[in-house]
Amino acid sequence: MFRSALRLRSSRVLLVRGLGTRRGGSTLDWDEKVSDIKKKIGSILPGETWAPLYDTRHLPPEHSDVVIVGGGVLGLSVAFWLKKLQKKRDGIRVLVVERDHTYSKASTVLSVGGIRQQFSLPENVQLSLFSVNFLRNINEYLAVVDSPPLDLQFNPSGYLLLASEQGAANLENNVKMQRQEGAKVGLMSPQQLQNKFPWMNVKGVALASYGMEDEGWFDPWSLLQGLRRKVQSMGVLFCQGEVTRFTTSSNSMVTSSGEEVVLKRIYEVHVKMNNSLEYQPVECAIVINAAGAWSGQIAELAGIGKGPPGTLKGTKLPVEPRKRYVYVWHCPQGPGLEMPFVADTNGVYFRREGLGNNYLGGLSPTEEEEPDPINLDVDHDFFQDKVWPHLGRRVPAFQSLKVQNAWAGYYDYNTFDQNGVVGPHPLVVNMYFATGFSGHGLQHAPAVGRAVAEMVLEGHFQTIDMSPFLFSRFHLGEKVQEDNIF
Amino acid sequence: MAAPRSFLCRLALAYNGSSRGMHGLSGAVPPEGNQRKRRTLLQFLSDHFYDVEALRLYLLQRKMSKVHQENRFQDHEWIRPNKRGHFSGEFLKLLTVPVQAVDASGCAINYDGLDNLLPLKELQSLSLQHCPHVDDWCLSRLYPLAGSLQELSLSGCPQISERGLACLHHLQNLRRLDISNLPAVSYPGLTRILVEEMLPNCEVLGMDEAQGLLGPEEQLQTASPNPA
Repeated sequence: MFRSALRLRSSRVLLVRGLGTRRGGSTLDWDEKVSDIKKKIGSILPGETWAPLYDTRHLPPEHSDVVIVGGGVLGLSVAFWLKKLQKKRDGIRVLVVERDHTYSKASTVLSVGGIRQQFSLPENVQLSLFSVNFLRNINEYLAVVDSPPLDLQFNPSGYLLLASEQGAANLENNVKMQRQEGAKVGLMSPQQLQNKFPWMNVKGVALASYGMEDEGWFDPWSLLQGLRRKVQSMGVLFCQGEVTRFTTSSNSMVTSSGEEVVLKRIYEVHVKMNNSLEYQPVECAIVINAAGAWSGQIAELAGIGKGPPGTLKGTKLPVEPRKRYVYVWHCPQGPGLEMPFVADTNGVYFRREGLGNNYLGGLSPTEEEEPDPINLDVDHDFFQDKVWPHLGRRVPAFQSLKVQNAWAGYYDYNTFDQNGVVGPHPLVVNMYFATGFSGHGLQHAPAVGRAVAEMVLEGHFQTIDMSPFLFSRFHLGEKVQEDNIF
Repeated sequence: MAAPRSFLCRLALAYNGSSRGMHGLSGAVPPEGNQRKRRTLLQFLSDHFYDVEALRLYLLQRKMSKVHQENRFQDHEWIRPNKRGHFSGEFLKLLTVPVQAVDASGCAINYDGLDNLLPLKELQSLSLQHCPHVDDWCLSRLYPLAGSLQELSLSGCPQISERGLACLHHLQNLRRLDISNLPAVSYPGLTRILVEEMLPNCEVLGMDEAQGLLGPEEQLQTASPNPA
């Protein structure tokens, strides 16, 4: 009886349709109604969110074990290692909150993409060594069923660091330390440099260090997409939103010397949707601050740095955004395929890009010349005044070049010692940092992700000891200065 | 009873399927059109059941790491001193004879397997033709052979691109370089010219001009004599 009524109704619709369209009457779209009803029934079944009043699919879940603030390469690396090192399958629920899914301002994708082992700190060398191992075996780590293998477009051309008379002794010590750690780096005299790279003008160079293997540059976007794809297949949830508030609970304790210490735990993260006032409080156990250039703001939300200056409570996270420019130019008589990533004595760096005699490079401005990080507009005069003269001096062919393109990106600059911050905060006990790498975050991302995951899951660093990078060094004043920053 | 069991199965299916709905919605890269068309039963099952998905992932990981295990064993066997590709029972007597040529064509040698080749300080000729696992990373490891290597053949290796060829500049004694039939190299003609400029004393074979994209400017750029 019901079926016949249906048939009758549909036939009536067919009859009415011819006249109804003129009057603009609504037609009975039975197929759409059926699929709506099916969706509603499907949402009642267990596992689906029952949201009878409005659509909540864009909101993050109400509970998550770990909330990672920031979906760049460091955040995704932490998510990957958390899922990889978990003891039970689906044992840990991870949520990655990323404000901008196009990554238009993210430091990862605006990066020049270099990876090197030539650092002045042994821990940094070890981080790079593991990361390059990760990149080499990327298809073992990030294999996803039914997806094509990743091609990172790695150029194994090595880094060439030049040193003047003053920096020569330092360079030699660094190279000795790097070789002890296992990096394949060699020293070159100015004569050897001139023979090997005839396009270079070696005036002012006393010594140079050249990475023979495991150094070069790659495409950060493919690494990011590869990580994203793998991490989603492992069950990590993504949410497009902004973290606006941390709700904390405090616990007051007294130290052995009678001092009162207030320890805080974040138990809720408010994630606000873009272009709306809607927010979702996500109950969480651990928060990981991988927000890159904006980590300082996230730390302030958690109350880090709100206290009398000089105390642990009043120590802010000294990470702030710094704008850096990258310029792409074309020089038809420039160096050929053998050109490594050259970093000059004064900090100017440049490398080959592609096969068409295009090169890219830049320079980190001095403290006085720091541009305003309010937006990512490019200052072309900076290239004319500060970068080009040095380029022309070092590589005479670069005296005639034509700038094709330029962009700006942020460094998550650690104003204290230009090195990363990794590990938990001493007072806000469940906020872990993975930020502040000041321009070498991309090349350390796989290793740092693993270190943070070990800290979260085991409670201590297992493979590489990153205890010099803990937050407490800001209060104690112990700098771990990294000299080779460009 | 058949009826309740099938109902439970359907319920479990729907439960698995719907709880994966969140993954599907937030998927970053949608499957390509042709993959979707060829959706097999296996893919359908692994979408709906966690266990099938885990099994497929395990098999994929096994396949990826199998390369390394196979290679180490294989390398141990043939790396004993021998002349050009000839296996002989007396190679144990030739332990002190320096190896001059190694022919590894078609072998499953990879990055770690090259550990066995690099200590050969007198190696003059190396042939890595049609090696499926030799990629740019492997080429960056060849610099210790720079003192003696005169002939290198990389033809037919599917994973070598122009980025790996760029790190052959260490091999200054190279006289013959065979880079024909490299499918992963984009712009073969231009790459050949750049490699010839990089290694002025070397004869570069392969990547004929007919294949590549040569304009008049690039032809003028060729400083070294072109033997072909």
